[in-house]
Amino acid sequence: MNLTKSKTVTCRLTSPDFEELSGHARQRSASPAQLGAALLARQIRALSHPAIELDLSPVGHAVARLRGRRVAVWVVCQDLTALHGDTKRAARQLDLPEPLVQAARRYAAAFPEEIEQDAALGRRRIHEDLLPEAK
Amino acid sequence: MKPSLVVDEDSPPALAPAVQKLRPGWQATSVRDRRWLGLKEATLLEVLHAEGAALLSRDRSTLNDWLSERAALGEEHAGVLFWDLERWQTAQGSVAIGSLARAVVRTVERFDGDLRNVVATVT
Repeated sequence: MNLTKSKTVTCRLTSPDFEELSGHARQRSASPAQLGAALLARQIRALSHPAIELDLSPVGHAVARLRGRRVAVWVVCQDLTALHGDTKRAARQLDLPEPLVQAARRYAAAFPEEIEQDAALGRRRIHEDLLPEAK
Repeated sequence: MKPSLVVDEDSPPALAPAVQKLRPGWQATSVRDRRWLGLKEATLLEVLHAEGAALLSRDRSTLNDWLSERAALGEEHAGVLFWDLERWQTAQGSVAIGSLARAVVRTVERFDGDLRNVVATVT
């Protein structure tokens, strides 16, 4: 989140909610205000892009995916680019409803840097022979 | 060993019948066929392991972290083969299903059909 252009919002929480927020913040070595801002930002994003959710890996990599489908936004965008922006063909190729393809495109347009990072992570060369269990 | 493959939901479901046609003795299905759409990766890997079926996917972003997590916990997996759109794309931009299916067969046969704990890229 870009904090260089931040604004202050004042809101009131019930005491139990504040205690809960403070507890979660302590676990994350953050202040209640920092965690509250992060949660609010995430919720605003979910309201604006209800078809998209952030999927977390065990080491904290977050990747934007279509909600209810394990298809990353960057994958949809890669197909759209290859198919010259044809949402119908991309939907057919990925076996998705076309509105989900359009939702992925809107999200990528709103957060282009984030989707570029997801794509770089998704297309990275894995050192397959170095994986502990790889043959 | 009779290989079993499941095409992930980020890949064309048509890949499964294309592989099956090339190797009728194998079992090739898709996440959609199995009704596993939307399963989280940790769950999907567990289900695939239980069924002894390898996954064909194109998104390494978080799947690799879950594979490493399983390895760290001493748990095995049934194998994951990744493919890249740039490599298997027609001039019109769609996925070259036939070529990709043939490459999947080659890759599986490179491991003598035994993909347990294999993480490899289809080439």
